[in-house]
Amino acid sequence: MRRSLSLPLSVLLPLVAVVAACDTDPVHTDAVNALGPEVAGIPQGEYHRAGQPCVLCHGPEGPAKTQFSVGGTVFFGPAQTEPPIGVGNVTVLLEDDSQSQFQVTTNCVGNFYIKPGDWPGHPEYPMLVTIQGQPEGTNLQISMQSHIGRDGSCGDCHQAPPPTYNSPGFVHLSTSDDPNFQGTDPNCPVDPVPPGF
Amino acid sequence: MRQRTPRTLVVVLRTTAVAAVVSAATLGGTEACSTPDPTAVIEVDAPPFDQFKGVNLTAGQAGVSHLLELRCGSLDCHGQVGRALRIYGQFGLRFVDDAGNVPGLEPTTDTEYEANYQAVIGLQPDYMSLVYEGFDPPETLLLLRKPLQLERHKGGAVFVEGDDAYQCITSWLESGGGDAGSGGTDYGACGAATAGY
Repeated sequence: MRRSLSLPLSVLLPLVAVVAACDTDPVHTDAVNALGPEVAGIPQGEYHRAGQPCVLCHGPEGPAKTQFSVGGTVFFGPAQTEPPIGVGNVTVLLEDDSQSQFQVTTNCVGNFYIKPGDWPGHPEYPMLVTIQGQPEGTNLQISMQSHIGRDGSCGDCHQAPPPTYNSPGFVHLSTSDDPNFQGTDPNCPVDPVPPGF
Repeated sequence: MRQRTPRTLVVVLRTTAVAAVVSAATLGGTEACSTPDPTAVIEVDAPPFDQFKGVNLTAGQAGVSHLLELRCGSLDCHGQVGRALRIYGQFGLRFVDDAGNVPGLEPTTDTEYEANYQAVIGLQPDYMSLVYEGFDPPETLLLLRKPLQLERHKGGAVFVEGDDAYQCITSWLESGGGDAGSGGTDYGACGAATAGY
């Protein structure tokens, strides 16, 4: 006797949708897991995970709901003699291969991000980047020496200091650390020194 | 009437036959996978190293390596150790040795030039010889096929046929041992192709 195994569409379709939404790339899954859990006291949102590769989670593969095309964190100095400290009100100037330009400002922990709809159709890689700000009254400006080839996450290459053979360290506005610099906003809801430093 | 072979005998015979075939294949495979001769040398007729590195350069000129370092070797593209075409350089991946160099600081070292040269030649050594000896056109090589997007390239179209970067690389590939500037590598094109990068 033949038995029918057909499932009603009302059951099957949500099941397919759930499976399709799962991250099926083990490399991506491992990379996301390697970032670790959220830190207590820092809620998910614009201030979290400073210095980490934003687009890893905020990209097409998720798991974050909000997508970014570019994202990163700007720190004050190279963190050679002082802990890294995020710097706010820094203008991040981007120019892509089509000469289209876009600028965005960092928040009080140094984070910035661009959603795909903010700069539609861009960036077209390669892309050049300059950052500028006046965290201590004096204008500071620094340009990345090479272009960005295709990675929207600053933190993929700009990993925690010290610099190594494959990372120049965190993105930083000043070429030297300043022990007197304590952040740009005393009312910042999150400590601009990332957890672990 | 034909006598039927007992079923157990058939199974035994079949098993024996399969075992013999597997054994023969294993022996053959072992023979074929014997340890290669560590002293063996495969000679590749390839374009000159000195013109790849660039020697006796004047203002506005560059060697082929410099072009690859700036246009291809960013840390998020070919400046990664896992890439077949792995490019070291001052502004990207650094060769891990006693020097302890980091991205963005010390100039490209001789060790890095040599490693870049080996990566370029070793990508398709046989085709490289055929191109250098004039049997095949430069576009045979992935070194050009990828950036010209004649084949899928995750980094997109990086060069355009006839532009300075194309001229730089093809002049080196087709140098035939000629001196730079006189039938050899077009250092001027290499320099022009890196202006602004």
